[in-house]
Order: sequence, then C-alpha cells, then structure tokens
Amino acid sequence: MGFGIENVLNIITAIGVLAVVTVGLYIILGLMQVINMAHGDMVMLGAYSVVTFTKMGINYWLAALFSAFFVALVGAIVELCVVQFLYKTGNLSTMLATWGIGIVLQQTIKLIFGPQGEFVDVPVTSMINIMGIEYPAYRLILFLLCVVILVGIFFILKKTKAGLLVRTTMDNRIMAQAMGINTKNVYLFGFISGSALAGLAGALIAPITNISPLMGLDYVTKSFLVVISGGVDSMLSTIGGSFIIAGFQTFFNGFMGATNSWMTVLVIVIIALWVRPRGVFSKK
Amino acid sequence: MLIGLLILFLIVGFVAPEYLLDLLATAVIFGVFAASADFSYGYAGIMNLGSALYFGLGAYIMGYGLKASANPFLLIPSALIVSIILSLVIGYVGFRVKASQTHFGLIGLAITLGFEQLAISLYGLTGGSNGITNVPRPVFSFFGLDLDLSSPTLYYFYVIVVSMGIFFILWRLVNTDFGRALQALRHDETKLETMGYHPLKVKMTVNAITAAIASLAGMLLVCISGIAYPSLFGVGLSMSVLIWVALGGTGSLIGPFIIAMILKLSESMLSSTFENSYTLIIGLVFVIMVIVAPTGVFGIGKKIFQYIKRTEVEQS
Repeated sequence: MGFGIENVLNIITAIGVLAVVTVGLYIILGLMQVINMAHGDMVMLGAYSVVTFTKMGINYWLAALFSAFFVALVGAIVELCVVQFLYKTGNLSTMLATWGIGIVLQQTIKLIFGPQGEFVDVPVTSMINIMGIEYPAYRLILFLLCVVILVGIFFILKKTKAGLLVRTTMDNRIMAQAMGINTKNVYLFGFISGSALAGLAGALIAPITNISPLMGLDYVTKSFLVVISGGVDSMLSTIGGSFIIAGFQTFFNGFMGATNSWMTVLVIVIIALWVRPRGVFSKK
Repeated sequence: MLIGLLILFLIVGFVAPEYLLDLLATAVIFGVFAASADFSYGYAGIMNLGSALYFGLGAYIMGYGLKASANPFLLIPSALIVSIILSLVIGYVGFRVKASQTHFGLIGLAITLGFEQLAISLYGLTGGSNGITNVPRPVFSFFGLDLDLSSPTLYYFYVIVVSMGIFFILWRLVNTDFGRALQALRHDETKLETMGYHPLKVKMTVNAITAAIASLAGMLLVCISGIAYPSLFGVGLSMSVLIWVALGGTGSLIGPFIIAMILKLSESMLSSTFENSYTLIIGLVFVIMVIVAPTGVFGIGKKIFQYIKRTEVEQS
C-alpha cells in the first residue's frame, strides 16, 4: 500500500472527527473533573439515533441535527438524575456511575436493535477530484464540518458570555460561586454541550463506520488518550492531542495492521509522556 | 473473621460436590483480585483502570506455559516478574504528574485495550479470539516428588490456601508502617514527602504489589476455566473490579472480597436465566448504589444497624 494524497485526506478526516469527540470530553473533564466513561456511548447513541431518524424518512442532515439534540437531552437526563449528586464524592464514584450509565445505554440499544451492526447510506455519494485522485465528497464535507464546529466552539468559549462563565468555573469553581455565578447551571450546560458534541460526531461518522452497540469504547479510550497526551490546558492542546493519536494511528494503518498501529501509537504516547508528563502541548 | 472464613471454606471443601468447588474457587480468586484493587485504591488512593492487564497477562503466560508442559515452579515466578516489570514501567510514566489520579488510570486503560487487541491478533501465540483452550491443571514436580493438582477438590484447597495467604499478607501489610504511609499518601502527598518518603517510589511499589497479586489471581483462574481468552484483558473486567471495590466499601479489604465473591457466584447462576437483561440490571443497580450508598453495601448496613440501635436506646 503506497502513501499518497488519499492517505493524507484520510488522516485529516480522522483527526477532525476525533477532535470534535474529544473537545466534548474536554469540556466535561476540564469543567467538572468528571471522568465521563459514558462519553463514547454518547457517540454510539448519536449514530443509532441517526439510523432511526433516517429510517423514518427524514433527510440525513436534518436527522444529524435531531440526533445531536436527542443526545443532548439524554445528557441532560444523565446529569440531572445521576452525575449531579456525585460532584462532592469524588473521582471514583462519578467514573463508576458513568460507566454504569454506559452499560445501561449499551444494553438498551442491544435489546432494541440487536447485537449486529447497522448502517446508514452516505448522503453525498459523488466523488471529488483532488490532485488527480478521486476522493469521496462526503469525507471532505465531514472534515470541513468538523473544522466549522471546532472553530465555532472556540469562539463561543473565547468571545461570548456563556464561554466566559464556563472558563471562569473551570479555573476556580469556588471563586466563581463567590462572584454569584450559578455553577450548578454551568455544570449542567457543560454536560449537555459535551454530550451534544459527542452525539453530533456520532451522527456525522455514522455513514462511514460500523455502527454497533460497543463502538463507544473505542472512542472513549481514544479521546482519553488524546486528553492525557495533549494536555488539558486549553482546547487547542486537545486538538493537538487529536493530531497525535488519530494522525499517527491512521498514518501507521497505511503500513501495518490495526493492532500494530494501535500498539505503536501507545508506545509513542508513553514516550511522549515520559518526556513531557503534563502533555505534549501543555505550557509547563 | 479471617480464620472463620478459612474454616468455612475448608469445611465446604470436604462436603460440596466438585462442580460447586470450581465455582467457589473462581469466586475466591476474583475476591482476591478485588482485595488487591482495594489495597491500591482504598489505602493508597491509586485508581487503576487497567488492573485486568496483569490478570490477563498471568492467565495467558500460565496457560501457554502449562500447555507447553513447563514446570509451574518456574512459570509462576517468571509470570510474576513480567507483570512487575510492566507495572513499574507503566507506573513510572503514569505517576510522574504529581497528585493526578486520572493520568495513571487512563494510561492503564489504554494499554489494557492494546493488549486485548494484541491477544486477538497474535494468533500463533495466543490462539486469537478463541484464546488458549484446554489448559491442564498444574502438576508441581519437586525433585522427583510430584504434587498433582488435577482433581477439582485438591485444586480448590490449593486455591484457598494461596488466596488466604495473599489476603493475610495484604491484611498485615496495611497495618505496618508502610501501610500507614499509604494512607498518608492518599490524604496528602506533600506531607508524606516531608516525612522522608518518596511518593513516586511508594506508588510504584503499591502498583507492583497489586500487579503481582492480580497476575497470580489470573494464573490461578486459568487452570479452573481451562481457557485464557482476550477479554480477560478487557476494560470490562478492570471496571468490574473497581465496582466491587466501590460496592464493598473502600479501605476494608474484606468488603470488596465478599462482594466480588457474591456477585461472581450470582453471575454464574443467574446470567444463564436472564441472559440478555442481566448486564442491564447489574448496570442499573450499580448506578443506583453509587448514588444511594457511596460508602458501599456494608457502609449502608452499618448505618441501618446504628439507626436501629439508637432507636432501641431511645425507647428503653
């Protein structure tokens, strides 16, 4: 297998998708210190809801938007019913509770759709000619959408009032409370937007991936790896982390099997953490 | 309490039928595994999301070695050494960020997943997704003296003796100076440093001990089930262990041990009847338990007991 422009395009698409998933995780982890093990299952839920919506005859793009809203709703329910009570009790219980939620989501989906995979038709089937290579247009659109989403979130976080509230609470929760910010609402907002991002990413990758009840595990591990290898300093460091994980993995996939490339990425991550324990793109 | 448990296990060993002994031995092995995770999390505050890594490693090495009819006396130490070396490498990388829980845990999680895939893809060595099947029970040969553990009853006693030995060592360990240093580590790392301990070294030691016990548990298990399969490395098992610790109450050793045993026994009895919904129900129960009883099942039992006692005192 040679290395050409096609591989480069595959790499940037993979990076874009992983970055969207991880930014959702980063908001939840950075804002509330919650290790959300159900994040991958939110991706899975997004993919399955797009399956359901398109089966109902709704246009794919509209279905993707609906899926994001639906997963946001699930995120809201999860926050209000479970996670809300656990902020005080610490890391282990939130992590285990979200893992439990993940199991419940997986099993529910398994009971409804069965353990076998589902698929969604690619909404844009045309090919685009890039430098002499025919490349599926949908993947390019996917990449551009990811860039738009990331830029949008970046501006929301940096320029708007809501973003300011989120960043303040992230930096120092007690201080934020003292200034009269209702941190409870900020947490709820953070969890919902994180889940919505995961759901949207799941809906967008649905046409080009195998949809199965256990697909979330792959995403949750990858995005946690991104967070620790890139650092949790800012959104940009998580995007940098996505470059490391998805970039290297897709790159090595061109030369060797999936397992070997994953192990190679792990070795790279371990070496990177050996040199820069706080993450490659952290300031310290 | 420990002696009572030991006597109970021994009596059961003489009366129970053989298939039940295998079930019970499996439950005890997972109990020890849970106790080791409690030693790591409940005492030292180290959350390991990849403890199944060592469990699977022990199972695979033992399974491969026994099928190649290697001497268990050589096999067990070599598997232990491999696990300890791996744990030291992961520990060194993961613990460098001071006071960060998530770092080490997540690295462990990723590496477990890598090993699971590796176990599936290295077909020649590991048997792919089927795993290593038909692992025989070990025969310890010692200078011409053969100790054959191929009968389930004998193997059960072997498991009980080894597990109780490990449990006893853990119990003693948490009451030594080292054990108290661990609790200090959980509360305040900087204070521990001022007392002359090196936090990184303490953490790596704890991790190595946990890894050794987990791998020993894996080695014990593979001879009963006769099979080492990829999901022994899985995230699911690593998380289950933490669930047992959380439900049993952290920092008690015996609580997670008992909870793990109960859940394992009930799983092997119930999951065949409610095949599809068993995991769903366990997940739901678990989420509710984490919210309602953050101190574990025995913690809430204690609270109820105290409440009853208080009302009795008020009435009299």
